Amino acid sequence: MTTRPRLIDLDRSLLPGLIAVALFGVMAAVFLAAGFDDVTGFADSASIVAGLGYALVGAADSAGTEALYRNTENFLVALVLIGVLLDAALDGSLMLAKRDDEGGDGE
Amino acid sequence: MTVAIELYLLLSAAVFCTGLFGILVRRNALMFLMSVELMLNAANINLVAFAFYHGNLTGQVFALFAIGLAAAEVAIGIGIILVLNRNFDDIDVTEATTMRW
Amino acid sequence: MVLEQIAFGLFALITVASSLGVVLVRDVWHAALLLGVALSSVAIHYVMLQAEFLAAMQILVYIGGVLILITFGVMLTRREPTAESQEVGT
Repeated sequence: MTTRPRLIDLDRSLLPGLIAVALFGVMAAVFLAAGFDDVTGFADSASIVAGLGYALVGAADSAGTEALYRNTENFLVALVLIGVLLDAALDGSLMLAKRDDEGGDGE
Repeated sequence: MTVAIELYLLLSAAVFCTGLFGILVRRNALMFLMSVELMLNAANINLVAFAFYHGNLTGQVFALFAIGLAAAEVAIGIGIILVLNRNFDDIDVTEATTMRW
Repeated sequence: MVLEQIAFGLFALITVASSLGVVLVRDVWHAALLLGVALSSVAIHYVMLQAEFLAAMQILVYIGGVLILITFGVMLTRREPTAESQEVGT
């Protein structure tokens, strides 16, 4: 059975709505008052995917001589940290699933 | 003349505030997960827009990391929600009050 | 170019409208579908910012991974909709 999409009742969400709109107003005021320069953009001669790969393994300097490569930082430590964290996430989800299996009857 | 950076900032602020509104209003745990996804996407729009603005790749690499982290977070979140559903027969976050004093 | 700004406005409208739909629609499954629309339009914004690799990663990881996981969650936790749960459930 398909149903027409219906909205949530909005009368209870007046205060969160006001909070969200107020936060957007503050952010918009800050952004519009900041004053940015013109967009630099990427040079056509440099390959973006290659630059990403070199920056991920910490060799952004050896990628080439374009400004795109020279201005990019190295991310080897961050890559290793993210790898460890993804491992921890895998262990955590395994722990959740296993406890669900063994002790599912008791609360 | 490309699109000004302020417009991307306004777009991401709008998406972020929408996600915040969703977290404040909804009571379904899955809606929490989707609202967090919206907020992470707003942050990613900012990172990519500033990478384009400054002409280097640092923001893009950071956005790549954020995408990976968001995927792991959703996997953990789905696990927690399934355990919640098994223990309480519901995924309303206001129902799970066993550990509340 | 003015064409880029028209495209940006169009897809920004789609992004904001569909993300508002995610948080305002009552049914969780409708919200998940609208989240797919929002994530796809964010990928289009990445393409307009010359981040094609990130757009591909957005589609692969978010729409191929995260949205499927959320779909699993919706399907596995959905109860039979009764009259009173339709009224109460938000």
